[in-house]
Parts: sequence; C-alpha cells; structure tokens
Amino acid sequence: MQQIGKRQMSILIIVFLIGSTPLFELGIKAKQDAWIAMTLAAAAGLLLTVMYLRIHKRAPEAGLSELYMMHFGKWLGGAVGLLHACWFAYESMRNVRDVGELTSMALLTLTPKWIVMLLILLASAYTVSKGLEVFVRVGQLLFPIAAVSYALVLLLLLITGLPDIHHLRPVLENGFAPVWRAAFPDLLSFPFGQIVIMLVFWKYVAEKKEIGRITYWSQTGVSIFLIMMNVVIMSVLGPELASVSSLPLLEVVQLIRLANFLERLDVIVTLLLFIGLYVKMTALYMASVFSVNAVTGIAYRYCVMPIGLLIYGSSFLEPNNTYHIWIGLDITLKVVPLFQVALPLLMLLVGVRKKYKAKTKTS
Amino acid sequence: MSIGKLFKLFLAIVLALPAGGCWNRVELNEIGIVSATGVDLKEGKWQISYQVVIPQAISGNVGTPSSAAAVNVFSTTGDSFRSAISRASQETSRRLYFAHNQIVIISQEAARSGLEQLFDVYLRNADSRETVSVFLAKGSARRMLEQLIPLEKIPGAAIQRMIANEEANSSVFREMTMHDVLFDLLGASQATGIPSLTVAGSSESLDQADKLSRTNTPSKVRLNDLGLIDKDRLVGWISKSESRGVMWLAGHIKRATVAFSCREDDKGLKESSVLVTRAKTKLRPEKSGGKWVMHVAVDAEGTLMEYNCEGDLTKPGDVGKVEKAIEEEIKREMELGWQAVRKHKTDVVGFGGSIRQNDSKAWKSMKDDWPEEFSRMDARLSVRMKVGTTGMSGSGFKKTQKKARS
Amino acid sequence: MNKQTQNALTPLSPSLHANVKAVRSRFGGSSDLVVRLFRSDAAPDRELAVVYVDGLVNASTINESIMEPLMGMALPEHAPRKGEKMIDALRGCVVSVGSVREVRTLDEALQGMADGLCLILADGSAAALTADANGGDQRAVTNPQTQTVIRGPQYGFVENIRTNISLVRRIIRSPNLHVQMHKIGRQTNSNVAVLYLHGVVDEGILKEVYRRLADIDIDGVLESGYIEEFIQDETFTLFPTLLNTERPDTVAAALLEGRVAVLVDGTPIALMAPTNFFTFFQSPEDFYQRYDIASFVRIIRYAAFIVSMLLPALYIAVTTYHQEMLPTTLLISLAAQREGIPFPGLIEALLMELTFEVLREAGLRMPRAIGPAISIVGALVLGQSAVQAGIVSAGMVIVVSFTAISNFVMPESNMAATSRILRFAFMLMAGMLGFFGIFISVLFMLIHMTSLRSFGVPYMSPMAPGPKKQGLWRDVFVRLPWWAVVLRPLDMKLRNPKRRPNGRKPAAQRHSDNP
Repeated sequence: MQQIGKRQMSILIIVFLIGSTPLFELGIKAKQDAWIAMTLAAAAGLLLTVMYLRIHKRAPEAGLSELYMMHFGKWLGGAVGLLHACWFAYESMRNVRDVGELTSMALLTLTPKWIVMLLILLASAYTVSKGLEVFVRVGQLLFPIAAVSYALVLLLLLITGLPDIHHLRPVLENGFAPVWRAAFPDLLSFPFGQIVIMLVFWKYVAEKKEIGRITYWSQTGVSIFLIMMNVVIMSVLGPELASVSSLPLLEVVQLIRLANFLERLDVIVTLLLFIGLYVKMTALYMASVFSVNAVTGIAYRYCVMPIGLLIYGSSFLEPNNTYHIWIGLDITLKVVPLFQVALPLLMLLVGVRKKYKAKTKTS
Repeated sequence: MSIGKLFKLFLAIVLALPAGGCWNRVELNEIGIVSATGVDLKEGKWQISYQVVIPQAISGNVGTPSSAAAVNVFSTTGDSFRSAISRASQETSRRLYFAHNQIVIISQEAARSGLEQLFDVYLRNADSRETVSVFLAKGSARRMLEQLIPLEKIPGAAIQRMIANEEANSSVFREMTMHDVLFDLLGASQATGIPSLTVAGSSESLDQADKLSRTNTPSKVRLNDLGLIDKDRLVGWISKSESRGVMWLAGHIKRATVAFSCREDDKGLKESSVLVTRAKTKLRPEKSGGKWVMHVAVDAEGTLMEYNCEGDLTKPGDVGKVEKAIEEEIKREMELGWQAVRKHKTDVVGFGGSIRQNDSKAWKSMKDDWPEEFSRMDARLSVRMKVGTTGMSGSGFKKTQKKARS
Repeated sequence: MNKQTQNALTPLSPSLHANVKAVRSRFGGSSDLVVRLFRSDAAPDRELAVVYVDGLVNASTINESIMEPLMGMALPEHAPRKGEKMIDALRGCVVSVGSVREVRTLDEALQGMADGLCLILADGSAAALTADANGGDQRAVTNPQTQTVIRGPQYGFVENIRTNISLVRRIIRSPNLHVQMHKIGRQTNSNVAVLYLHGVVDEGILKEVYRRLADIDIDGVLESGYIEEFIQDETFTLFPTLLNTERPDTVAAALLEGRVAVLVDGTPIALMAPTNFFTFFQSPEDFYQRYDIASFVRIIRYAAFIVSMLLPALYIAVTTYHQEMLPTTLLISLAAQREGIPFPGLIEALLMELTFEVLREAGLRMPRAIGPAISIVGALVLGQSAVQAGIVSAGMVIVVSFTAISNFVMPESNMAATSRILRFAFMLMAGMLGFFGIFISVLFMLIHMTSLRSFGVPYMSPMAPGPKKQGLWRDVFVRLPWWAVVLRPLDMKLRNPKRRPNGRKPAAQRHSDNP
C-alpha cells in the first residue's frame, strides 16, 4: 500500500488549501472587512477539521467511502460514497473549467478552451495514474516554487510601498451582518471546508499518531497566510477596485514597477494560478478515484480514465463564464454544506449512538 | 489506463497541435507597438489616435539609426473605443499592440463629455495595462501625439518619463496612472485630478524629425494645468501653483523646491528657496457646529538651497525664523490649492475618504451630496518645517560681503 | 553457469596429443594459437605442452616463469612423475606464477586461454594447469578525457578491468572493499566487476544489482552502456538513472557514499548506482575545492541546466505570445531585428538549434585535424552571415549560443543530453501555447521525474520525498564544509549512514602572540 510521510501530508494540506485562493479576493462581499470574514471562516474550518479527525480516529485505516459504509451500512453507505465521489469529480471539473476560463481571459485569448483544459487534465490524469505517492512528491516540488513566488511578490510589494493599510478602514462599516454573510457559507465552503478531502487521504499517512497535530498546524498556518494575502490585496487595491477585478492578484502585480526592470511579473501570477489549480484538481480527481475504487472494487487503474473523461466532458456543460461563476456561487454553495458539514455530522452522530469505538476494540 | 498509453496520447496531441494552428501567436514583425494613445471627440464620435513605434528607425540592423521620425501617428473613429480601434486594421498593415502603451492623452472636449467608456475598456481588457499615465490636453490630443521631443526617440515614453521626473523632483503634478484614476473615481470622493499637456512656444508643430536637427526648437511639449474630474467628467482647471497646494493637501509631495521671501509680510521677492526632501500630511476631520472642519497638519523637512536674507544661519534663532517663513509659504500654497478645489466642488484632496475612515456613520448620511458638503467645509492648516541642513555657508553672500567691507 | 551447460562440458583426455588436437580444432586452427610441445629434464619420458593465445599473454612471464622452470628445473626426487600427480607436483614446485589453477575440462581450459591464461598440459594426465600470464598490449593510465578537473587526481580508467580495480583499491586501502566478478555475454564472456564497500552498502540494493546482472542474457557486452540499459529501472525515460564516470576517485567517492559500482572489461567508463537527480550536478571537483566556491559553482550548474532546457522555449514564448513581458526598449530592439526575417520565431529557433546540433555532432566525428576549420565555418559562416543575410535575427543567435554553452556546464554528459532532447519538446510547446505550453510540459516532466526510481531510491529525493533523516540537504544545492556533512547523501537503508561522528567543526589551534 502507498504511504506518505507526515511532512508530505503537511505539504499536501498546505498546497491544496492554498490552491488558487490567494489569486482571488474572497469575501469581497464584506468589502474592506473581507479579512474578518476570512478569519471567521478559517476558525470554523478548524472546527470542521476537529470533527473530521474524530471520525477518522474511529477507523484510521478507512477512507471516506469505507467510513460511510461502516456508518450507514453497505448499500446506503456505498451510495453516499459514490455520491461524494461524484461531488469530488464535480469540484475537480470546476477547477478544470477555471483553468480554461482564466487562461482565455488573461493569457491566451484566442486559443480554444478545449485544448487548454485537455492538456491540464492530461497532466492531472497522468499524476492520478501514478498514484498518491507521486502526487505528494510533485506537491513537494511545486511547493518551493509557489513559496518563492509568493515571497517575491510580497517582498516587491513591500519595497514599492503599494499597500496602504488605510484601505482596511473603516472596520465593520455596515455592521457585522455582511461579514457573517460573506463568511458563511461561501468562505467556509471554499476554501476551508474543502479539507474534507483529507478523510480520503489520511489513511495513507504512515505516522498515524501525528495526523491530528500536523493537520491542525498546517491548516492554521495556511489560514494565516490566506488571510494575510487577502489583507495585502485589499490594502493595495481598496475594496472598490478589488471587487470589480476578476484576478485581483494579477492586478496587484501589474502595479509593481521597480527599477525599470521588475515590471512585468504577470508570469509569476500565471504560474501560481496554474500550480494552485493543478494541485486542487488533481487532489479532487484522485479522491474521486479512490472513493469509487473503495465502493465498487473496480481496480484503481481502470477508474482513472473513465472519471477523467467524465470530468472533461462535464466541463463543457456550462455555456460561458457567467454561467460558470453563477453556478459556482449560487447553486454549488447551497449543496456544499451537505458534503462538508451534514454528512460528516451525521456520521459523527450515528457513530456515537452505535458506540463504534468500543465495537472495533472488541472485534 | 497505463502510463505509457497516457504518454502516447499526450504525444499525439502535442504532435497534432501544429496542424491546429497557433491561435495567439503573433510575430514581432506583425505588431505595431503603440507608445501613446490619444482620445478626441469629433462630431459626437470617438477619435482614437495612435502613436506607433517604427523599430527600425530606433535600432536598425545596419549602420547608424536613420534620422527619420521614429513614430507614426494616425487616427480612427467609431462610436465605441473598441470599434474605433478595430477600424485601425483598415489603415495599417500591423496589428496594434497596446501592452506597451505608455500614456493616454484625453482632449478637453472628450473629458468634458464623460469618460466611462474609456474606463470600462481598461477594466475589462487584459492587454490594456492600468499602469499607463493619463493626461489631458487643452487642444487636440492627436496634435500632442505628433510632437517630437528633443533627446528622445519615442515621444510617448518621453512624456511618461517627464511626469515621473516632475513627480520625483518638484511635485507640482504627480503621475496619474489609469489605476490611480480608477482608484480615486471609485473611492469615497469620486473625484481626481489629471495633469494636462500643452504645446508651448510658437504655434509651429514639432512634427518633423529634421526640426530636431537645430539646437533649439520653436515649440515644446510642457506640463500645464491640473484638470479636475468629478465622477467621470472634466469640471474645471486649476493652475500650477494651485496644483502644488493640492499636492500638499493630499500628501503627495515627494521632493519640492519652495521659494520663500524673508520678509514677514510676503511682499518682497521670493529670493530664497528650500528643497523639501520629506513631507507628510495628516488629515483629521472634526465636526463643529453642524459643519465639518478638516485639520491639515503638514510635517516637512528640507535643505536650504538658496539664502539671500539678512539672518545669520549659525544662530538657532535665525534658523527658526527661516523655518517660520517657509511654513508660512507652504501654508499660502495650500490655501491657494484649497480655495481652488473648494470653488470647483471636487474633492481631489481625499477629505471624503478621511471622513469615511474616521466616522463612517456620518459619512453615510452625507455621501450623497458630498460635493456641496465639501464646498462648505473649512480647512485648518498647520505646517511644521524643519530645516535639516543649511548648506555649506553660514549667512548669505550679500551679508558676508558687507561684513568683509566693514 | 547453469546446470545444462555444466553437463555438456567435455573432460580432458589423458592423451596430450588428443588434447592439443581438440584445442586446435576448437579454436578453428587460428594462427594466433601457440602450442609448444617439449620434454623437460624433470620428466624426460613425458611430453609436456604449453598452449596460449599470442597477444593475450605476457611473453616474458611465459618465458621466465613457465617455460624456463619447466624445461630446466628438475623435480624433487620424491615427486611423482606420472599422470595427474605430476601435474600437482608441477603446480606445487615448478611453475613460478602467482595464480595457477587445475582444470579438468576442455571448456574450462579454452575459456581460460581466451581470458589470457596459459595452459600447461602433460601427457598421461587428464588434468591440466592454467597459469596466469595475463598481459599483452594495453593503453597506459592517462588523464581522463571527458571529466576533467583542475584540482584533483589526474588519472582515469583504462580498458583493462584489472588495472581499473587496482586503481580503485589504491584509493580505498581496506579489505572492506569487496569485488565480485561476473561473466556476461555468451560470446564475449566479458568480465563485469561489482564493487562495494562492505559494512556501508545497502544489502538490499546490492542483491538487486546482482539479480539484475544475472538476468542479462546477450551475446556480447562491449561497453558499460550495454549493462546500463539492462539494469536501469525504467527504459522509457530521458533521464539517466545510473551515474557513469571514468575517474577512479569518483568511483571511490561513490563507494564511500554507499553506492555500488559496476566496472566492465574493455571500457574506461564505470557505472554507479543508485543515484538521484541531484547527483548529476556534482563534479568531483566540488569536493576538492573550497566549499564556498563549490557551492557557488553548483548553483550556477543548476541554473545552466534550466537555461539549456528552457531558454529557447522562453524566448519563443515571450517574443511570439507574451510581448508585454519585455521591457519596452528591449521589445523595440528585438522588433527591429526581426524586420525582414522570413520565418516565424519557432521555425527560426528550430532551424538554429538543429544547425547547432549538426555542428556539434560533426565536431565530434570529424578527424581532429580539421576540427578548427569547422568551428570557423560554424561560428562565422552560419552565425554571422545568417544574421547579415536576414535569415535569422541576432537575438536568436545569442539565445542559441548561450543555450549551447550552458549545456556544456553539466558535469555528466548523459544529463546534458537529456536537456538537449527536452529542449525541442519545450520549444514546440512554447511555439504552440506560449507560457502555458511551457508550464504543461514542465509539469509533465516533473511528474515523470518524481515517478522515477533508481534501484528503489526516489529520483527526486531528498527534495521529493523529503528525507526521513535530517541533514541530507547539506550536499544538494550547496555543499557545506566537510565537517558539517555527517550523513551519506542518499536516502537508503545504509548499514552505517554516518560518514563521521557528529560534532563541531575541528577547532584550530589557537595562536597567540604572547606566549
């Protein structure tokens, strides 16, 4: 069986949660208080992780689908597992589509989307076919690249003095309500609640005892980083410009002009965008394959191709970007809590009633 | 699915790609690099002018660069910006390439009729970079593009450097990039100031390269007044000296030379000057008696550059007097600027933003008629000047001469 | 040898003449087979024969240590003079060569002769002796041709495996240096030696090396490249998973790091395994120079590797897709150069790169005497005049030349070859999709690289996966001073993973001015 180390798991969590998040100004509905909304959502995300970890501890060798089957019985649990697998595939599809949309918006305006999406999905499928070990190692390689790029952007922003902390004032201009509305469910569902994917991967971690500690630390660190990026973007662009811009970080980086030389750093942002989206889509794709494999017993390698085709095919269902965003923000967000909160919570409750822990000890 | 198969699929796609063509590919000799754009309003239609760089004239492959003009200017018209730009293909062999556009010049008429269309183009398109500098022109924008600038090959880039130089060294105007403009117009007070360009000197245009072969040119491009934009249209002009006051109020002074007179009553010649090397402006709004008052506190530091007064700079008391004189001068400049913007009811100094940050509730109630509210405001100005260095000689030359005679 | 061939072995006959005839016929009457029949004083009634292949043996050893004692020296009084006992006596008392072995089958005898042994036959004995008289002409030990260093030993391997092993032994003077010989190649019967440091090496990897060597079934092994392709983990990869070198000090260093070395007779190039990607960026000189300059140079090498893979692709992407990334003045001067160039940027780049590859291959293959001429043709005619004629732009020539030069920085030529091939893939992708194309192809490359293993060691370790042990980083991107590098660099299960005890840097003796 494949095994990953605790450091690898930590990097997986970090890279997965960062994903493409810093490129967007999330929680902009709360205007200059976006960071407060982020903080709330991050804290709630940690609570979700506590719940996931409790479920995981009941059967450290079980993946998400196995857990469903244990709690809800073979048939019902299997069906829920498959549903969740579909959900992972759907989320992966959204990232594929994001790559297509953002590339055609910012980078290759005339290139057809199908080729861009096909290529990135092929890279993803190639990784999935190589397995989890290779994927986390690729993550380990991409992590330093992303870290250096973010550090460079932040450093240059500091040197040029673009951020102006006054843009964060006045705090809570319209009271607490808009902040709360921005945080829940939007920000909790994306990105923090997506950590539910770790229920699939935790069983492969070699150091079972350290999972909780490492997960909490990684998630806290990532949350702080995401909030910081949110603050930086806001303090450069101000709430009004940040809300009209589709890729705020690109906007910020375009403003950096230093020594007539470090002017056009768009490529860094583009790179970060692709790295983030690739990691996310691959992790979700892989989670989907793992879940299908666990429920149906179809060999892993035979699952890769059909699910990939499914993801690719479904990425064409939305006619244009407006639909894509609309479905993402209005429809998807209403369904997400089912998978991130409701089902795991149900599992937790069912488990309490069944006294699952005691049962496994005796058996 | 085996890895080998996947890899083969990848290879097949890669090999099939050339057949599909290269969608976004454009060779360097297929693009016309636009270095400056002009926006005019002609009979209700937008007239867009382009200053296109001719690369061979700048760095030719063979021998020395030719003495021909390095840019070519032409215009197209249309109801919308993009339709005008798309018409360019009817007159030029190359695709216009805007990513290296350095400046946008907007004519007075165009600015008065409203610029929302222009701003939308910049917000929507990735190839229109928001780092372009924006200028107004009192006359035709196209004529500004046609002017050559001594020492420089590409006028668009030259004007961009001119404003950067101005901002860094005398701070009468500051470079307004499209980002700055959008930022101000989307901000609390929804108003901004944009510097303007004029052709100074004789009416003869400097539009032939051989005119640059003389040691002096009959006319030249110069930065002139500051145009005040409210919402999205031009509402008025303020002069250079008023513009400096606005820069003081808004806290945009980076380096400035302030000329001052030694006489307390401000009647004499301003024969001395100080180079302000650091300046900071603090705004503090206060509501007093149903009326808003803005306390503007400037904290500046500088080096004495010219001194033609009676004082003896080796004495602390006299240095204090000099500082006082400078403070008064700066206050006068600010007062000038403040009266000008108040008259035009355009808040280009950021008072609205300051009130919003300090008292967002009060701001909400009055933001709808902010221009009126703004014009009713009072500004209490205070300046603290610190002369750090007085230069290498103690007292003025005149006084030293007198001393030497006695 | 497996059992079936063992059964087919023909025993030697007691008759001397029958044996000689059999040897002659098996060699097909080859003219370099020397058969010397004689009677010695020691056993006048018995005919003896000395048989060897001319050129494989050292003539003076034959004369002085075999023929002379056999002909001149009498056997001791009590020694038996008949049959096999006499052979024993000859071995014990007469033949004065270091290594003498008794053989009982014709095949063994023939194999020995092919290896350069001298066969001694006696009439009436079904046993014979093979005496080591190995010799003949061979190249002297000289400077290494490909991996040159300024500081460090200046000798390289030669084609003779015995010399090569001895060169390594002279560096590691320890009985822990173990050498296992294998014969590979049905026809060539090449000697293949596996060298390792006992007590350090990972036994699992050693077993794996033996297993893979034993699986090789081929008629001939002419060079270590044959072995390399048989024992590497993955065939369909552009990345080398075995190190090779012609320097004994490099082999010794590898052995000390716990690697296994494979030496093949007939080639100066030795193989070393396992390895990881980062080892290919280490030159032996890194370890002889001061650590600071070594680290600097190593970083330069990584940069050069990236340049040699990606620079033309980046140039194509920037000039044909992302012109906004260039500073305005650079864009204008590049645009001026491109005026009148007939080809698109991608074609231009491919043209120049292919031209360079042709020049490079021509430079390798052509007789040395006309080498300088070709470099003039290449540099002047192709570079200069192509620009002047307006076929390619000057910028492109600069890019291609710098790429080519960067490629020569790599200490390992097989990794340099990888970047040469990948360069074309990157160029094509850049020409079709700009930066996105480059990103996708680099991503594919990274995924592929992380999936590789060299004898079980992940190829991208210690970067991915990160080391299980701390401290493996100290000799990857930079080289820390020797006293700080405590662990052997590869993430293997070594018996003895530490090179030196933990500890602080060796303190210099304090000098003080006042005693």
